[in-house]
Amino acid sequence: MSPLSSRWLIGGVLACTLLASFPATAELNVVATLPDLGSLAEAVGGGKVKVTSLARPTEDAHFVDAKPSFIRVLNRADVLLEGGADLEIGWLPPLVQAARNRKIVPGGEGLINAAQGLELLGVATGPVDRSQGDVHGRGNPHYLLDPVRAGQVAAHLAEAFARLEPANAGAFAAANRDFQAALKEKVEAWTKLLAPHQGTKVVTYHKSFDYLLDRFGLQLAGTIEPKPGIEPSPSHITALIPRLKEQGVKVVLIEDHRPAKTPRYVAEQAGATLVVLPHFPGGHKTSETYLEWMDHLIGELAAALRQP
Amino acid sequence: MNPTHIHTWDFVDSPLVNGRFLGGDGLRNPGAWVSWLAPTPFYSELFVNVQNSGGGTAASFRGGGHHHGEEEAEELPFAYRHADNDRGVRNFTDLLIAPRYVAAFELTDAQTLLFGASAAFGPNNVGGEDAGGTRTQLYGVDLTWKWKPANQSGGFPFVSWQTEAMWRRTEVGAFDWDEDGDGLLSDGEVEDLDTGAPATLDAETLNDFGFYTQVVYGFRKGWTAGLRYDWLDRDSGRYEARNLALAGEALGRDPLRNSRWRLSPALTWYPSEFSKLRLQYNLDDRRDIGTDHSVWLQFEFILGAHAAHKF
Repeated sequence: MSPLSSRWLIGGVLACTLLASFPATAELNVVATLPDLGSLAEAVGGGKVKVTSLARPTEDAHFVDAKPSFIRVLNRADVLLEGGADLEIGWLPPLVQAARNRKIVPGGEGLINAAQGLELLGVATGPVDRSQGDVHGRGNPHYLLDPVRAGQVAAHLAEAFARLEPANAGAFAAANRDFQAALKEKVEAWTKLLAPHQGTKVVTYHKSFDYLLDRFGLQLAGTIEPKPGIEPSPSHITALIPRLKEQGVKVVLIEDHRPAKTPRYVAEQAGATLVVLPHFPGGHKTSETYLEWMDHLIGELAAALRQP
Repeated sequence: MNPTHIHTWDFVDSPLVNGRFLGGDGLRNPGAWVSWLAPTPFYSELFVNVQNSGGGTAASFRGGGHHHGEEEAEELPFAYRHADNDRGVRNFTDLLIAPRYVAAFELTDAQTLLFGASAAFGPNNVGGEDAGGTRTQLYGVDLTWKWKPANQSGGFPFVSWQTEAMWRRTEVGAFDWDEDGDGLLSDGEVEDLDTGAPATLDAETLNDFGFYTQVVYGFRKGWTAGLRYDWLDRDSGRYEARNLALAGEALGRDPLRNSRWRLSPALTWYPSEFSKLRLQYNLDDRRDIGTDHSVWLQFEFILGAHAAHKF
């Protein structure tokens, strides 16, 4: 081989490498901390984004292991979509720091705070301290259980994606319009389904279903854990049961990762039904997308409430 | 293990090999580090740390001579010779250089395997009749396997298995025990029983090894049971075969290098994320000293805000 042709060969190899690392169809690489945020990103992405969720849909989002593989995933992200209400505070910050990706650090253009502009429940009005348990000072972070707030988040995401990837702005806007229309229809159906149960009292394990109850006019009569993040003590449980009987609580609502033993005992003693619900989309076969998940969740809840 | 804080330890005490080679407080001096995240299909990162080789937090290097957790440290210094090097950092060879490579693999959705290889190179201050030109090389490999099921609640249940093995190569300088220079045996000087005069120790290279393996099972929320096995050994040095004595007592194997093993079961209860109560038993066997049994009860609580933990 002559010197000239070998130079051409090297040039060709380099060009191929460059092409391989910058594909023509740029897909926004979105990393969502939690599967519910991921499902909304998917919904408004219009097939133009690649979505990865860090937490597994069936695990406790407060205690996700900061796996080293997440560092690699975050290093390649164009967008980091976070809840923004401290739910991921126990595991996300060191990962972001280790990922050394300028796009997703605080202040980076690719960091999207899903809670931005949302009105949250349970925002601390006074000083927050440990005597209140693991309370989130910025407000209750489980806001995607309210479909109306989820709609606001979806709209916010579509705008953010358009800002980051103007070439696909039309696709994001169209996907968002479709999602908002489908959501509106669903919210009407869910409201009708739960309307007969307005004012009904339910008990949850953690304050994770507050937004759902608030949206559909149900009332929280108490929680199985005495304070957020604190394991129930026998004295708390024995004090809780007569209170539930007195108030005629019909449903005990828990997330699927919670050990069911204590909630089942409370439900039996109080004459209520225990309902175990997937707390994220993807955690149940029939609820992959956000709308399927909420459909499943509200369907199960309504079925339990209808029981005499 | 070295980068973790004391309050995240799974046992009351640090592994023996870490205590002997890195010091009770770990190897952590002021310095700088650079790292490179490799573009591999799995997590893979290379770190290089450069730090000052002196001070109390650089055992095995110029911070040697005082070993936490080795109760007999007051008797005689490492390799039976005093540390003798008070220089600051003057040139490149005075720095401690510590590269580390880590790779991690997601075996399944619930299992992670982490492999690490580390080394540390720097000057030590053992002996020093030849102006402190002696150096230490430390090599280590570690393996961590962790299982946490997809429906974990509150971080439980989990099983984590961690093993770390280290090899240390220490060049020790020649040392003359005739510290007052009178040629006669004085108080506090090591005697050469063959001559009756203060001992003169030759320079040599010492090899020490150690490992630990531990398994921790978080069997229900807030409860962990752990078991750890520690092991330390070395190639005996020429100075240990010499006919030496201190204050009339014959010296044999160096207690700071002698073989030792320990078995430690522990049970920990975390009433909240900010407090813990731990019961631990240590079966500790030190060659030439004997077997010790100890029971530890540890209570700890953290005040103030606390940052997130790494893997």
